[in-house]
Amino acid sequence: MERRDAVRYLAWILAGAATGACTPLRIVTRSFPAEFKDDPALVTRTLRAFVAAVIPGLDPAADSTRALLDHGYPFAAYAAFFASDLSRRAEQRYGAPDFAALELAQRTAIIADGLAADGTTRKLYRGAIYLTQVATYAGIYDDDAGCGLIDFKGRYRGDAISYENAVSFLPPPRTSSGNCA
Amino acid sequence: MIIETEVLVIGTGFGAAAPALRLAEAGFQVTMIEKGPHIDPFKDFRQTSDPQYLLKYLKGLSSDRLSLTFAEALGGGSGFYEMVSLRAPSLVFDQVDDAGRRLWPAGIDRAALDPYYDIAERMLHVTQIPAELVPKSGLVFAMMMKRLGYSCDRARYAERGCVGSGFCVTGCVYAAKQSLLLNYLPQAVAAGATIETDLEALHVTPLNPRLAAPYRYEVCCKGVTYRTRILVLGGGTIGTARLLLASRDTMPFLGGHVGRHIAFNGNVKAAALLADDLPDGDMFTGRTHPGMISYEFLESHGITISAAKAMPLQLLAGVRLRLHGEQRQPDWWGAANVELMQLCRRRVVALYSMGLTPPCARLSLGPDGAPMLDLEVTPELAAYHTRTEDLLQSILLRNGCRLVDIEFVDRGGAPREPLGFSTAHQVGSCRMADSKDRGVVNAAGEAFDYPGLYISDGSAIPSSLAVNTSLTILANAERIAAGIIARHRAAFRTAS
Repeated sequence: MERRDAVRYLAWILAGAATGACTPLRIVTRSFPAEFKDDPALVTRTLRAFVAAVIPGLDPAADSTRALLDHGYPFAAYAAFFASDLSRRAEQRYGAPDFAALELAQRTAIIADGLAADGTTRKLYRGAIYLTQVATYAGIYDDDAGCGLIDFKGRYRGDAISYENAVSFLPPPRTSSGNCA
Repeated sequence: MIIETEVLVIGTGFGAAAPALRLAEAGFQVTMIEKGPHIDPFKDFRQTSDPQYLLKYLKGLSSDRLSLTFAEALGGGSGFYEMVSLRAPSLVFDQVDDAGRRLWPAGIDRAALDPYYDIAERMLHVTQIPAELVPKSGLVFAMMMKRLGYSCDRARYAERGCVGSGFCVTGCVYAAKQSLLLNYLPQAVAAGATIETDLEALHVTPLNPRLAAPYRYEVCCKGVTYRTRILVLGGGTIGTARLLLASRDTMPFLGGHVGRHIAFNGNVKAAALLADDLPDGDMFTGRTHPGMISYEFLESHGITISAAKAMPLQLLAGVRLRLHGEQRQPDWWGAANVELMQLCRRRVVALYSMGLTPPCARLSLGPDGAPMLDLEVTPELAAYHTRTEDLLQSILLRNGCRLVDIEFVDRGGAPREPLGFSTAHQVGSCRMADSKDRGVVNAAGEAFDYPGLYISDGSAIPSSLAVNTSLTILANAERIAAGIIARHRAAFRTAS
């Protein structure tokens, strides 16, 4: 992956998650349980449990759902529906609608269900996972924070960039200057 | 509003900056227009993973098989490139098409470009990286090549005082990377050039009948029209082709090559978990391009090989990573993915190649005027991809590494065709050629049948280079600028 290329993919996939998710009538008509429309805390709690399943081991104190609810990205428009869908699948599979109360393995199984569902739902779940991974691992909201889980410190902090015995690593060069004749 | 100028340069990147500076120095009245926003290299860059910041400057264009990235900002890609500055190897200029005809115009080869490479290197302060500054990931790559008996060279960079922060591609906050914002562009302004940003050239109209002299061009932008005697197109491989394709109604003699023959350096990638007996790399620290390049397989396979570093944003963007043979499910998210991501900084190595793949991609405009990209993957190109991927994986496996599977995904997040290319090294959409039946401009960069219209950017470069393209684009632009001055200075003095 070209480093610069990555950014374009990011835009694509975030947009893809949204445009694909436009299709279901349930989203368009907002015909999903009222509690997910009216209770932002319920949505956030459900999404936090989702993030914890996508990235197990993440600091529970982290503001892990910010990207999913950020209206700077298309996914936020579908966050409430997505949370309700997690809940619906939880009830279908385990008889309990509180996705956040399920064990990690159960939440993982429900997300896998969503990824195996119809095309639109699949896009929504893929988009949610992707946005979660990018936002968390890359630390997109804080240039200083990075992601401690993967030893990414955000901005440069003076870490050693090379080894002291660098020359010993090098094979014989083919050129005298770095430019090939 | 109509503005008269002697020279209008479209774009401010590597292909545009040299003509602007040299013509301004030569006494021409030079105006540059840039589609993207202004950038202050001392204030605007960030060490960040904020997509909103990056998307402000970086754009993309894709087909099923090819993804191109380019910058739209003052300085073009120079603010965001990896500052790798290598001369194209001599054999690059000997590439031929299917009919055995040389892709480059007669007389243009490494020797012809070397004096202009010299100028470009001086302007950008290009030097070979000292061994002690080679990032850890580059050293590990070098060690792997060494263990297999292969050569590896320290690469060359346009920098002064690089600290190795690892944020080359978000813009250097230390102003160490020698973007054009630090040299060509301010020097051009000092020589009298003017630069307008946030201004896109939409359409070109020749004002005089065919072959009448002096030729004049009118360039329409939103809210302003420029009239110029010399028009230099330097908006890049995508931008220049797009502008000319949009101007076909008024430029009937352009011929059929605009937008065709895009070469893309045939990038192929492979990644692996380092073997236990190899030291740590570091994905996140040190220059974005980790210091080393191998020419070992240039003659035999037509490729160079480097290691690659990537920040988490780039590691994740558009791909799913999973350890080869991973049995746990899910494998691209959840616990297995977290464990792999935790290994990425120190214990994952990525290799990529750039190759002399043929100029076979094409840009066209859709009914709505939007650019569309197309790449037909021929059996030869597919074989190249397989052969190159096998070689990269072989280097990793023979060093005891465990492969990491890289699955590219589409905009819906679904797995893409496994055989595809992505690059920021696209060139050739308006290529130089010996005659109009093979290209858009002649060896001097002047459009066939449109005297006074020059193309000096990557779109004029007729072949893959197997190395990063910026220095060659800049050197060729210097060469074209020298020719423009030689041809037009006397005429302008007489006229004035």
